[in-house]
Amino acid sequence: MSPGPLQKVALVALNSSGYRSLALGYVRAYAQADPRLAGKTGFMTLDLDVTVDPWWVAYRVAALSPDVVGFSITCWNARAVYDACRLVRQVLPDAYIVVGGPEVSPIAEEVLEAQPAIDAVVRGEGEETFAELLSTLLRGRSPWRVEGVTARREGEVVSAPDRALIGALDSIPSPYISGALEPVEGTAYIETYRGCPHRCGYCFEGKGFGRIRSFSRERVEAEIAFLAQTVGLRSFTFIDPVFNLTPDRLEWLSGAMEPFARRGVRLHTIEVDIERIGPEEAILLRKAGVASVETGPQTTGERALEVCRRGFDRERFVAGVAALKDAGISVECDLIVGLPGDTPADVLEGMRFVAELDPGKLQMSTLHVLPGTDLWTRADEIGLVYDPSPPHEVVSTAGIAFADLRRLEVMGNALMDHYRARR
Amino acid sequence: MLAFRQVPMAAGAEATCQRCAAPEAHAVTDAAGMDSRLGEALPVEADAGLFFTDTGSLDLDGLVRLAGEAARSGASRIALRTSGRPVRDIQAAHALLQGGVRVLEVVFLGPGPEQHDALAGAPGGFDAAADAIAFVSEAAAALGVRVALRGRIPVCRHNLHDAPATVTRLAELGVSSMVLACDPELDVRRSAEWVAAACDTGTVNRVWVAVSGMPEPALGDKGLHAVDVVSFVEALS
Repeated sequence: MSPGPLQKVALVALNSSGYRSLALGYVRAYAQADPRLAGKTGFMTLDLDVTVDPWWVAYRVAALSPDVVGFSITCWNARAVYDACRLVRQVLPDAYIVVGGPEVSPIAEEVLEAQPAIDAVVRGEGEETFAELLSTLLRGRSPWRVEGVTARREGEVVSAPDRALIGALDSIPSPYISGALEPVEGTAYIETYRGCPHRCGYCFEGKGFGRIRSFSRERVEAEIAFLAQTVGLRSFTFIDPVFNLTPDRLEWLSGAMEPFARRGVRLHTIEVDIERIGPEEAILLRKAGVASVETGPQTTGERALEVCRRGFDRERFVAGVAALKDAGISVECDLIVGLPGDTPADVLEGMRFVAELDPGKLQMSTLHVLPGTDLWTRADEIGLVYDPSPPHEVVSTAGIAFADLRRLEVMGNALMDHYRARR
Repeated sequence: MLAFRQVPMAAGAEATCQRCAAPEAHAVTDAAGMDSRLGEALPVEADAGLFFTDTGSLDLDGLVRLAGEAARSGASRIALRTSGRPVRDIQAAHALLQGGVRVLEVVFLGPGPEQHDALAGAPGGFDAAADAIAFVSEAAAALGVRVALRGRIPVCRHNLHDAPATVTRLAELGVSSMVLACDPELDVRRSAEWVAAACDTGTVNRVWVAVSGMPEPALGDKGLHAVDVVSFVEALS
């Protein structure tokens, strides 16, 4: 790549319908503020639907004539992104194609081996790494030397050392305040911290981050206040893995959101540790404008809970659901079919347990063995067979055969369909 | 799993194989009879589910009335088993849904008119059943309500071999679950493989097929199909 006077960067996300990529918003906001790129790099973001034809994705990208194309990849859009990359490469042979995200970070070298259209993978937290990669490309230096990057060097795939996590999250500009992202359909995303207090074996929520790092309260409040002024804003989606992380934070967030809740702004489908919710916590959530929460149990099978390193206190779970329902908050209970350690009988027991709780919504999904997770690392050891291609759906486990897994999926879909059918 | 209180209306089966059994006498065909049955079934606890069965001779007004009474008593899930004949047009489907029905279970004896109508002993039954599903589906979309569409296939020796094809037809019609209600008189050794094939047909078409009336061991490695997403926790006699 030999950029002209202005390095043009196209950031592309293929999202589920109605969503926008917060990740690309962060990456763009950080790079836009980088003094090394100021006045030398221009950015465009293409937030497209994952169902968009890859030829049309390539068409839209080509229309921007970018020097660098960055894609955000999850297990859900990986196949579509790879298709688009292949076509973009054909149309723009000189463009530098970079991908990042949870799907590719843990398997960066394999991705480059399998996807010749892609030039580099940004591993881990993307903001600093992507900005430095752009700066490196701008100066005509070797991208494979950039910490956190896996790239090609004379036909070889080379990984630079990992990059340290960003110490002060406030150094990342707000994507909204910086103009890199706008609320869509009356909804804005809020992230107050990164990392997760839990270590569930199937989840990549913590993204390998060893500790929890928070944005400052002042920063979060400023972002909320800014967004609340947006015409038509009706709801916030908190992407924090656990909204009620600590009692102190719950009280703070409840107070911070209350003025907006009074104006009718609602929080939908926040994730909570329901076993730490009683009547008082439920009231705080209500004050914050929480309309619905999402929670487990994922499974009630003791062996699966053990294998997945996940806790479950049946009585406290039931009490948490009751407290939230009493407060007028809808609860979505999630179950995962195909967790190692579960038998078909365990899955059925989980369905019965959740159905008897009479939550607002019952959600069943099939296990996806995501790169970088504990289950992905230990798959052979625990007899977990999964599709190596994204989205990495489980094929069979030591406790549930292939055919029974498919039956449980179909039964689960029927249960959800019937569960929703109520007045 | 999803618990319903079954309320048999004693108004006759929705569709049965006339080669197996003679037409039955209907205990309830009038308003007074319905009131009596409803009096036994209602009121229900809040958020309870009610499943009206044995509604064969009830017309649309009767069905709408059942649903309305159930809704007024607080039932959150109201299910109805029907031959489909009362749901003769989109207006009828609207009336049922506006009355509160959210689960519709339609009875099929075969994969098409030729088989179904021959066994039911009357013409037009299959088309009425298929149309009912289509009308309710269309009405639900128009009204913005969630409904679950189910099929019920009474399986006897006269339609056993059609069970897989009937499952395919119901999947095409858009149900999300169905139950194969096996005649207890069926020879398990001869029928198990057909029932198993019907179950597999459902799985590959992404529709859940539950089996009743057949011992679970007879299902072999398909024992999961003994589980239905709907369960009757209590039934009026």
